[in-house]
Amino acid sequence: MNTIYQPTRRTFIRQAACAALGTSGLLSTIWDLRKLSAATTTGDYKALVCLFLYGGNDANNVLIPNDLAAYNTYANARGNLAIPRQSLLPLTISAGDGRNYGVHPSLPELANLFNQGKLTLVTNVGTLVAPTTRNDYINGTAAVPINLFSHQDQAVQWMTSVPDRGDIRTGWGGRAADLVASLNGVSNVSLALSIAGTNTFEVGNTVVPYLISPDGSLGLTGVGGSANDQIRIDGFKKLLALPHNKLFEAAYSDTMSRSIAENEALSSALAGVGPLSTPFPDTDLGRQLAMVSKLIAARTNLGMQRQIFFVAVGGYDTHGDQLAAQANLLSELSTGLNAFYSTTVELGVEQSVTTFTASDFGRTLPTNGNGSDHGWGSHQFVMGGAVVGNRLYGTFPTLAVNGPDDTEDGRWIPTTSVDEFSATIARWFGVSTSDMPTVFPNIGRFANPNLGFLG
Amino acid sequence: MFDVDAAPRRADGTYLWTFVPVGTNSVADIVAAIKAGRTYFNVHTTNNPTGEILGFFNLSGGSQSVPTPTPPPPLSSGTPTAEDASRFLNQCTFGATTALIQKVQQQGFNAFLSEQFLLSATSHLAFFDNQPQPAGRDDVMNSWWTIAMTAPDQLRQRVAFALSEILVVSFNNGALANDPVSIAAYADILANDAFGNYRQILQDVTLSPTMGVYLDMLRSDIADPSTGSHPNENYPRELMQLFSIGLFRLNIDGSLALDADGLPIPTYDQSEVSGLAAALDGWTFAGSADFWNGDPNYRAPMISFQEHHTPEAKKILNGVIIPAGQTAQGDLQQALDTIFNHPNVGKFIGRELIQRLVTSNPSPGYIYRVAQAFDNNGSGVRGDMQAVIRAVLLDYDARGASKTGPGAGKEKEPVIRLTNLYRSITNNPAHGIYSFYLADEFGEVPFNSPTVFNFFTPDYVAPGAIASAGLLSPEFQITTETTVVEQANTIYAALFWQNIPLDLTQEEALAADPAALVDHFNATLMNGVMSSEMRTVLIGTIGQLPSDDPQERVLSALWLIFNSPEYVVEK
Repeated sequence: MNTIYQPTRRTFIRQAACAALGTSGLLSTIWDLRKLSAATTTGDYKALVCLFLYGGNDANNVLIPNDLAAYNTYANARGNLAIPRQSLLPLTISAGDGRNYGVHPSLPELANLFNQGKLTLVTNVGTLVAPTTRNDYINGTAAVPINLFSHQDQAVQWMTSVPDRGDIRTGWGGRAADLVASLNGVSNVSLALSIAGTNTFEVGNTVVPYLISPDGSLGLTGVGGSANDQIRIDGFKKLLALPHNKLFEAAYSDTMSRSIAENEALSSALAGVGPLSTPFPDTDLGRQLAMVSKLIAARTNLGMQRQIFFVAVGGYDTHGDQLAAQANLLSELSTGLNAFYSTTVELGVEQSVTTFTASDFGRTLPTNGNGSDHGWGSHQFVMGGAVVGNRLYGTFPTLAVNGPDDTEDGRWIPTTSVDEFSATIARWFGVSTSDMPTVFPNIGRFANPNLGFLG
Repeated sequence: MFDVDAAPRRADGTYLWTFVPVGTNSVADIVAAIKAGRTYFNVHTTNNPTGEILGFFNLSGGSQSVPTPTPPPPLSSGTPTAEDASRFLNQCTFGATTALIQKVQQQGFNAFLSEQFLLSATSHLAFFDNQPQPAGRDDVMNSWWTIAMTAPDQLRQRVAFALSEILVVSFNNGALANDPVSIAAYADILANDAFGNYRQILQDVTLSPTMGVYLDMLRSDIADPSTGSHPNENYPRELMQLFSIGLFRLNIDGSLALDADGLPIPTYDQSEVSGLAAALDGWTFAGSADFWNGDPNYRAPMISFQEHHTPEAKKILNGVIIPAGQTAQGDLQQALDTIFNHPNVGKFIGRELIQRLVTSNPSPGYIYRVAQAFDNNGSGVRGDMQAVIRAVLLDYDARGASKTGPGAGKEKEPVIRLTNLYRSITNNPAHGIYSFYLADEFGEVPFNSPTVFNFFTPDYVAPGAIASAGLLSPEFQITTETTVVEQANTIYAALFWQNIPLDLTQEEALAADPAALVDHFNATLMNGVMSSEMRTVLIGTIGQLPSDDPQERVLSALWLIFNSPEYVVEK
């Protein structure tokens, strides 16, 4: 049984109650004050877009060595999952490990963006409790993330960036949002918007994400157009507006009223946005990113200096039929992201919007006959005008079973942590060095809190 | 603002934080922010030197000694009114029905409870096994909803649901999700034990392989000095913190007991957690041929392998020493006896049961009376759940006049609002299976808690007016701009789309008279306490809907009520 870091939250809760009685204090902070100190710059606009690839994207077939010997090693290990070398789309790389790489043939738009310096990949990123060597892993002496290789747990840990704890309800996006929320002033609308449903990533201690569908915000059903609908919603608003001298009734009423106002504010802000000329592909991701574009276009109407978006695509759990399934998924990814980047150029905010991918985990290098199984470290995209491009980041893994990066069956031990990857993004977004441990409690365990891929 | 590392440590081990103005905030601003629950702190620990966890400051009552609470006035002993019966049934079942209201009026509260105590548990496992195999997670959920809506053992299932929010396991765990029978079997443990003794509940939960997987007691192994591993402390810690005694010593009325320095008194320390972990190692799936290998068996209690059980003596709660060399079974019994006999249990568990069934902020006297029943059922038996349930439901604070103070009541859980809906329809036809596909945004799905801390914690305090008033508001932890709308839309779909058909014949017969319709729903759904203002709005709104469309009137009335602040907050 692996030794894991022992939680110490009981000590904390004990101390917390003491503090609540006013007899002693801990390192405590008024969050209103924190927020004021959080932003390194004001008056500018910045947005983060987290694109989650649910299921565990097989990054081994996204970024592929393109030197002959290295390609052959890859192809031999992958068996019938190998992508033919002649179909790889070459990347123009001006710095790094001196090797040549290509990307999957379904990613022509992203290859183009890479070669323009607007997109990069961070290689072999994954959930880590602390830097982990192969020896420690094999000997069972490394602290490893809770329920490694499990979808649910690993997806959430990518979002929390705290893989050694199962009881974290907030995500790093939400905790960063807590710190920058005050930049937006008073708004009816949360700065954390999800177009892909509930997610832990955007949940903060004070910031609550607001959910929107690709068609618009989540409003009440049955308030459409009919006369009966109108009578009913009018009656409902009257009920909410009654004086509520009981605190629980007032709190519920306030929440519902805020939600209705938020929906109305969003609808009205979106209605005030002119049509965008960039066409989006008619795909699940395309529709989600089209809505993100509208919400960015509406940023002034919404009073937003900072926005965080969550979009997601499922289906990456390619245990079977991988070659066809992943080709379709990557094509959707490439066309969708490309359209989105073009829209940010159209809106003049390409320097201010950074999009990044995340996924449960990578996948096994050897084929299972028809697909691949759950792995660990993988490669992630970062896109935007702020990218310091024309190079890769992180350390590309040695593609060998029982090689130096392998657990033991072709699942890569990450050499860059989710913390380092995410902290680099959060820093660009405006989280100060001193606030970094609040957003990434484990960041002090890792060597590179800024990987430098965003300028 | 205050750095404990930089502050001088005082002789008693505490640190003094003197408030000073910071930034644009005066001392008064800081004090006001603390009182309103708007401050949090960040704790840095040895293992996480850059910070590990955030927590909010909230008010908590405590004292060095408390007087014995004075007894409440006597309750009137006459026949319950329909409103009283409805209120009672909405507390102790998944929703009052016209038939049950009449039954309670005839029998009285006490006899109704006695009758319910005699009903055996409707089995989730039997439901699961009766589905086409392999049955899955959906079948477990269908079982839960169908039993909640229709089973005769309503009190048992409602108490079991409350227990499932205290002794939490969840499908939000890969291994349990892959083996859904695990949750069905666990649901049966809670239902079967709901009217037994809390000592038995602790034992059956501790030995449940479902809990064993969820909190890692299953295959918790003895220490291995070569790797530094030690018996898993996850379950032992939660067993004490969440399932029995809590973090601090409690006074007889459930308030925090304070020491001579005015500080709370911890119930246990880390060495006692480690000791308990050593007392509870060596258990795995029933039928396993060896400790590490064996098919998951969720239908039988775990079994022990003595060679994987720590042989040395262990110090556990209250400094009790478990002698060296006992069997795993012997250690487990001694450990559970020790925990069960801690004076906190009745107050701690009693308060949570009151919160789940009656009110978010029980009075000190209420907690005291329920804890007394836990400690002694009148025949010298400790932990008798029937006595505890009677004490919770028959107390003056549950059966006396409906509460009218600003902090009265509790927010109805989203799940309960949905069961109320189907059960409140007079002619609700018998459905084979109730099946719901609830979005995450609904906020609550039974046995799908995000963590062992339940959907919401019993001590959650919503920032703002609720915090300033010193009130707990557990359910508000899942009351957000998103969840309230999703809940309203789920109710809309249930009413207007009717994937599960509703027979509204009886209600539609009242639709020509909006006042009669509103009064009918007031009686079953709101225990007759609808305000005259709300009644006026409803009657006016329903009267505007076409009189020749009785269904639209009934559905609209129900939708408005189910989403109204007055209904959502049960008094």
